[in-house]
This record gives sequence, C-alpha cells and structure tokens, in this order.
Amino acid sequence: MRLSLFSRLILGYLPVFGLVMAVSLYALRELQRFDDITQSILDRDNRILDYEKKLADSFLSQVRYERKFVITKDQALFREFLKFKSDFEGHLREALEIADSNVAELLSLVKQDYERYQQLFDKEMVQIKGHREYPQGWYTREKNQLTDKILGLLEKVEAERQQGTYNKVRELADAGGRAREGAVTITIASLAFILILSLLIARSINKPISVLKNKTREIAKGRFEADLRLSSPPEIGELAAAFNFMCRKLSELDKVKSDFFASMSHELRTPLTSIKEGTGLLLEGVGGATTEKQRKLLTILAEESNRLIGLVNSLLDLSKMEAGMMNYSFEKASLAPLIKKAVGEITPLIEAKGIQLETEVAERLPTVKVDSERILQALRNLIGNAVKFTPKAGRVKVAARSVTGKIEVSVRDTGPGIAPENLKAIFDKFHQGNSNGAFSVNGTGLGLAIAKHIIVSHGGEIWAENHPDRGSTFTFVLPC
Amino acid sequence: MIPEPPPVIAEPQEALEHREANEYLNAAQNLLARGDYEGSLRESQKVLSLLKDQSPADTAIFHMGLVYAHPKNPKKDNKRAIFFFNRVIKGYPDSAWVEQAKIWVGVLDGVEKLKQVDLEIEERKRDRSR
Repeated sequence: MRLSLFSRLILGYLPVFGLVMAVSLYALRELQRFDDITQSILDRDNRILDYEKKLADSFLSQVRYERKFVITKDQALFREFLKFKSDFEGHLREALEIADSNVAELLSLVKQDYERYQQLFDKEMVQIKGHREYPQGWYTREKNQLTDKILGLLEKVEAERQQGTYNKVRELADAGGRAREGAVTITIASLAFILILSLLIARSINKPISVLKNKTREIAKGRFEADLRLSSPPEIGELAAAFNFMCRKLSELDKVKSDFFASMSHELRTPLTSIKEGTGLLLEGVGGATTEKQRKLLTILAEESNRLIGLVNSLLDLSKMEAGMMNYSFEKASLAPLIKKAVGEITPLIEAKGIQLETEVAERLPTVKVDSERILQALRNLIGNAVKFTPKAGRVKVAARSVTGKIEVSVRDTGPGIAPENLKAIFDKFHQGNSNGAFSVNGTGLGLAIAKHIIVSHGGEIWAENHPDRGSTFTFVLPC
Repeated sequence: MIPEPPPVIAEPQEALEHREANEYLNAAQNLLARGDYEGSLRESQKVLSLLKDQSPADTAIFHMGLVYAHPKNPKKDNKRAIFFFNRVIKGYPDSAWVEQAKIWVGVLDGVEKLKQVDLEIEERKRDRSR
C-alpha cells in the first residue's frame, strides 16, 4: 500500500504524539504520587503529631488535677480532672481513627496503660471517699510509673511519626530523582525517535523530489525521455506522471521545431538564394544589356536579398540557440586569428566611415576550446555593432588579453553609449540599444543576443559598460 | 515642807522580764498590723532572747510563723512559717497556739505540695518540649 504524504506525516507523528502523551502521563502520575505523599504528611503525620501533643498535655493536666485533688480533696479540682480525662479520651479515639498500624499499636498500649491508671485512681477514690487510711505512697508510685510509661509511649508515637515523615520526604526526593531520570530518558528517546522519523519522512519526500530535480535539469539540457519511474508517495508519483507527460509533449514540440527549422531553411533560403543568384546573373549581363537605371535597381535588389538572407540566417541561428538545437564543434584554437579575420572583414566599412580601428591582442594568448565559426560570428556581431554605432571619424578598439585562467576580449567604441537601464537588456533579442536618439541606426536587434548565446554556450560571460567620457565597451571572457 | 516621794519598791526580775517581753510582743503585733514585717520579726526575736522556754515565747514564735505566712509579706516563706509553727507544736505542746499552729502547718504543707505538683508537671512539660 502506497501512503500519501499526508498519511505519512500523520502516521509518523502519531508515535510522537503517543510519546508526548506517555511523558505527560508519566509526569502526571509522579505528580499525583507527590501530591498523595504530601497530603499524607499533612493529613496524617502532622495530625498525629498534633494529637500526640494534645494527648500529652491533657494527660499531664489530668495528672496535675488528680494529684492536687488527692492532696486537697477539693471537688473543683476533681471536676477539672474529669474534664481533662474526657479530652484525653476524645483525642485518643480520634488519633486511633487516623493512625497507621505502627502508631495504632503504640496508641493501643497508651490506652491500656491509661485504663490501668484510671483503675488505680478509681480505687484510690474509694479510699478517699471512705476517709480511710490507705497506702497513698504506693498509689503515688504506681501512678507515677504509669504516667512515665504513658508519656514514654507518646514520645515513641512522636518519634515514629517524625521518622514516618522523614521517610516520606526521602521517598519524595527519591521519586523526584526517578521522575527526573525518567523524564530525561523519555525526552531523549522521544527526540531521537522524532529525529529519525523526521529524517525518514524527509528522505522519503526528498529522494523523489531530487530525482525530479535531476530530471528537470535533463529537460533543460534538451533530453526529453519520459523515463521517470516514481510511484511513491502517490502525490510525487502523480507529479512524475505529469512530468513524463510533459516530456512527451516537449519531445513532440521539439520535433515540430526541428521540422520547422528544416522547413524554414529550405523554404526561405532557397527562394532568396535564387533571387540573389538571378540578380547577380542579370547584373553580369547574362540576360542581355541593361540600362543604367536597370543596373541601379538590380543592385538594390541584390543588396536587399543579401540583407534578407542575413536576417533569415540570424533568425534561424537564434531560434536554434534558444531551442538548444545549435550544434557546436569545440576544438582548441587561438582567438588572435579569429579577431584578425573579423577585423579584416569589416575593414571596408571602417574605411568608408573614416573610423580609426585599433587592435591590441596580447602576445602568446593561450588557446581556448571553442567553436571557431561561432566565436567568429560573435566577434563579427560585436565589432559590427561597434562600427555601426560609432560616428564618422570615431574610434573602435578591439583588445584581447589573458586574465587569470580566462581570455578577455573587449570591443570599445566612441558611440553614444548605452542608457544605464539598458546595459543588461541590450542583449535581449530585437532590443535596439541606442540611448538617446542621437543616432538612428537600423538593425535587426539580433546580433548581441546571438553573441550572448554563443559566449554563454562556451561557458563564458558577456557584459556591456559605458565610459564616463564617451562610448561603450562590450567585453566577453572565455575559460581557458 | 516638801512631801517625801513614796518609796520605790523593787519589782522581781522575772516579772520585769515578762512585762518587757509583753511590751515587745505588743510592739511586734502593732508592727505586723502596720505592715512592717522586718520590725515585727525583730521585736518577736527580742522576746525570744528574753524568754526562751516560757510564755509568751510560744506566742512570739507563733507570731513569727504568721509573719512568714502573711500573704502581703514580700519575704513570704511558707517553709519557714511551717518551721516556726512546728517549733510551737513540738517546743510548747501545752501552748494555746498548738491547735492553730497545726492548722497552719496543714494548710501551708498542702500549699507546698500543690506547688510541688505544679513544678513537677511543668518540668515534665518542659522536658517534652525539648
């Protein structure tokens, strides 16, 4: 069963939720234990200690009034004795109700001794009421012994409860330590689990996305094979299917484009070439003698045919480049002869405009891996562009030099320059780069775009700069 | 002619001492009534130094017991009072003060015992609170 991304995330985080719940429940359970122990100390131990004090106080008060009564026979003292007796018995009963087994055992012994004490006093009362001589000293000693015993037992109750409280506080401290260790362990385990789970989920999502990314790069390079095989997660699988569909469509489009270029090459160039050749033949007089006026018209026809052929060639080249269908044949070559050739080709035009052309090519320029024809085309476009925008008696300088592993070629002119906002857009196709209308130069707007495609296809860079005084420089670099 | 004064008849020594002792005793009782407990004891002591075993030495000793048992005496001392009352009972068994002295001894002894009970109980309470 293939799980969707949503299901994966939900199922992945369910255990995390479970762990968090487990930690919370564990913490709650420990807190409940703390609460129980604290409550037990407050409700039981402290109350027993309180009762122990009350028992001791009421018993000592009872002893005080009993002994005073024996001395004075004053009934008011006897009534006080009875009052404290009642208090003592009440406290003892209540203490026995909340006492745990150890304390209850001690309190039972207290009760037994207290009853013996009462029995002794009852007997002594009979003697006192009968106004008889009786061994008062013996009674006093016996009662004193029982008093000591009862107070001793109450002290044991106090000690027992204090020990109990101490044990409970220690239990609290131990439980706190265990809770801390448990919480830390569970938290670390949870974090590790969450980390691993997140990695697995992220990996299960990233891996197919990475495959998609690579496939996108392949498409960018013009490889349109619909061979993406991703079935999981389903969302990515659907995306992969859409990708394959897109690849198939692109492949079809690519074929249409190739057919179009082939067709265009044939359908446009062939008639243009025929016109050009026909016009040439007529100018040469193959069709008979021509008048001066006819020769002028034929010359215009020939020039326009050439221009049209050039335009069609440029359009086809740019289209091929944009479609990634331009074929390059790279080989090691020096740029110097190419520059020389490009400059040589444009010399008639330079001379016609009275432009001064300088060439400054560094000696021992390293060779670069280039398609010479294409680089020559780029050079022609750049130099031609410079000459085109340089006014009469202006200057054009072509320079080439080696710069840290690269060869830099620049073409500088003394033309009108480029508006700053157009420095990048100047390389867009059909962009006319004259800045302020001072120069109105006709052009196709394709030369710089083609030059940029060629340089970039060689792994190089191209850019344009203005000069503060006048003119602009087009520079490209190629890796050695 | 100037009449002759009557002849002085010498009193016997014993009668003289008794009269003097009674005067001291009266003074002691007056001083007690005025709250001069120290003075009262001094006057009673003079009686005893005059007459050791004869009346009113028993009265003087009984009086000294009263001075020490007196509730307003800042130097009230039940044990010393009991001591003087017991001296009357044992030293002067035929004295008219013996019965009263016994009552006083009984009362003061009871008070002392009650005090002792209180002291013992308080001490026990203190021991427990330590």
